[in-house]
Amino acid sequence: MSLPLADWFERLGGVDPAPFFVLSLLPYLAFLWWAQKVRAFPRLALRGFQLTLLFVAVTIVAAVVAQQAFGRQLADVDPLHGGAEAFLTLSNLVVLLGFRPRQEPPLAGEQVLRGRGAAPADPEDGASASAS
Amino acid sequence: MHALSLPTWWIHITSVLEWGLAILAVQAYGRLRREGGWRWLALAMVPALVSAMAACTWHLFDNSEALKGLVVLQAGLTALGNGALALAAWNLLRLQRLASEEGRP
Repeated sequence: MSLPLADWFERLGGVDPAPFFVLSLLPYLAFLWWAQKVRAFPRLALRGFQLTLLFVAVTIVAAVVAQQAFGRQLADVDPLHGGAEAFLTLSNLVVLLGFRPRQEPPLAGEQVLRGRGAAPADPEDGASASAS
Repeated sequence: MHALSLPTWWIHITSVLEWGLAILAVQAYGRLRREGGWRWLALAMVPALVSAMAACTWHLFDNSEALKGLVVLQAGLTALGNGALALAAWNLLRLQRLASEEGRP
C-alpha cells in the first residue's frame, strides 16, 4: 500500500530527464529572438538572459568532464558543480540588474504625462492655484 | 546536505534569490511603464523558480537516487518555463506592434 502521489513520483524517477533539457533549449532561443525585438526590453536584462546560454554550455562541458574524469554525475563533483552553477548566479544577477527601476530614463512623453497626472492629485496646490 | 560544499550552496541559493527578485523587478518595471505584458513575463519566470527549488531539494538530500524524480521535475519545468517565456516575449512584441499601430494617424 502506498500513496498514489508517491507512486507517480517513483515512476517519474525512471524517466530520462535529458531529452527535456535538450528540448527546452528551442523555446528559450525563441524567447531570446522575440525579446530582443521588444524595444522596451532592458538591454542589460537581455544580456543576462543570453548569458544563461553560456551557463548551459559550461554545464554541458562540466558534466562531460565529471563523467569522463571522475566517473560521476556533475552534481556529485562539487568544484565542477559549483563552478558551472556560478555562471547562472552571474547571469541571473545581470537579469536582475537589468530590470532595476530607472535603469533607463523613461521617454520624455511619459514623464510629461506622469507630471500632469500628479498635479491635480494635490488638493492644496489646486486650491492655491485657483485662489491666485 | 553534504554533497555540496558551503560555497556551492551559496552559489545555488544566490541564483534562486536573484531569480525571485528578478520576477518582482519585472513586475515593478511593468507597473512603471504601465504595460500589462511584463506581468505575463514575470509569471512565465515562475516555473523556472519552482524548477530550481526542485533541484535544490534534490541536492539537500545528497542527490539521492531515490529522489531522481525531482531531476525529472526540474527538467520538465525548465521546458515548460522556457515555453512560457517564449510566449510572454511574443506577447510583448504583439503589444508593441498594437501600440505602434494605434499611435499612427
